[in-house]
Amino acid sequence: MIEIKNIRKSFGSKTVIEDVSTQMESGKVNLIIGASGSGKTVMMKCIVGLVIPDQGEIRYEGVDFLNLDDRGRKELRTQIGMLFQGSALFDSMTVENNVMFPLDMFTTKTLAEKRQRVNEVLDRVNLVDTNKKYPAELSGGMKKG
Amino acid sequence: MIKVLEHFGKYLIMLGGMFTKPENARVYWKEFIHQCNEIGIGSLGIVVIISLFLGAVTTVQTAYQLISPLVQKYVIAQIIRDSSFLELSPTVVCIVLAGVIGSKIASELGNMRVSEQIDALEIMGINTKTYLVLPKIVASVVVVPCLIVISMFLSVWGGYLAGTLTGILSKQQYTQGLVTDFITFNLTFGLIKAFTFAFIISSVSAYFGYNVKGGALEIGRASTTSVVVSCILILFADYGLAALLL
Repeated sequence: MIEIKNIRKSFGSKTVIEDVSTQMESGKVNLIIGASGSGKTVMMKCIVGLVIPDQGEIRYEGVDFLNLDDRGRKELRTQIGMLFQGSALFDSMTVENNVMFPLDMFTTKTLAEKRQRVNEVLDRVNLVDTNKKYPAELSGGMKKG
Repeated sequence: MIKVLEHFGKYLIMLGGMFTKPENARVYWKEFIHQCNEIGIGSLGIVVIISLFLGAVTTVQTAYQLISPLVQKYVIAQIIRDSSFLELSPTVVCIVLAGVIGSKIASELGNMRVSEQIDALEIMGINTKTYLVLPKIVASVVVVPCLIVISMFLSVWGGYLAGTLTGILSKQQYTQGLVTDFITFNLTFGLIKAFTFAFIISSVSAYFGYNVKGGALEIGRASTTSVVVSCILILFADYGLAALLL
């Protein structure tokens, strides 16, 4: 469960998030809905630790994310996934290398094992045969996939 | 002034944040080699052209100014050698490299920042300063001095070609000038400058690129600012090193 307690975030004199509290329960789909510029992305970034709120608490299964040291945050972040608005794919890498990147970084799998995993994942989102393509060659929807 | 100090503080924090244990040494090594290739091979062409012409032009201009019959012709080669080792290759070539390498680093990191690629890496739990900035700085500090050594050699060779082909001085006179009163420290000094300038170029450009906020326009601005600041710092460091070590 993710608990958000009284978070507040300002950029200069503009307060984007003011005293927001909520709970996101495990196994449920939670939506954050609001008008353009109302701070949805900033709130998401606060939740995943990309933006540090000026005040408040963010707890993952009771663990205070904001008070963790660098190592603790790093470990917790390996369990967090986020789909960015602009897809955030690495332009210089092929689709295969993009998907393989976390496997390269955090596992000791062989190349064959990593390729097999990449193919499984691409197959799941109907992107078979795009392994050697670069992000610039994909459509917006394919990038989100 | 406060803004300059603020930038300097953030720059030091960025440099301090680079030194963490890599998540996977093999991936970091691969990135380092990739950067060496990008910086070294990517800049080799311009370094070759500039160095040859620097030597050639210096030969012709030195010959033009040394009109006294009391000055031996081989002095021209001595001047080319010392100018190349002390100033032309390390400083002039590094100023050009600030444009070539600096703008590339700043725009690459700036684009990654704007397109949220850096955020994506952070989400994965990767220290982006260590993964993206450190390999660029280390690669620059390793590769740029090698480029400067190549530049020194080519500058002297360019001077030889210009001198002998135009009849300014003979092959023997040029060779005699190269070996007369050679001070090895000049070469060491040139390399000290190359290491310092390589660090300035890569770290300053990485700082401006890494901290881009906005869009395409800001990436361009960051790229230009990084080149301008790098050039100014190179000139300050050039004077500082000359005053301290010579």
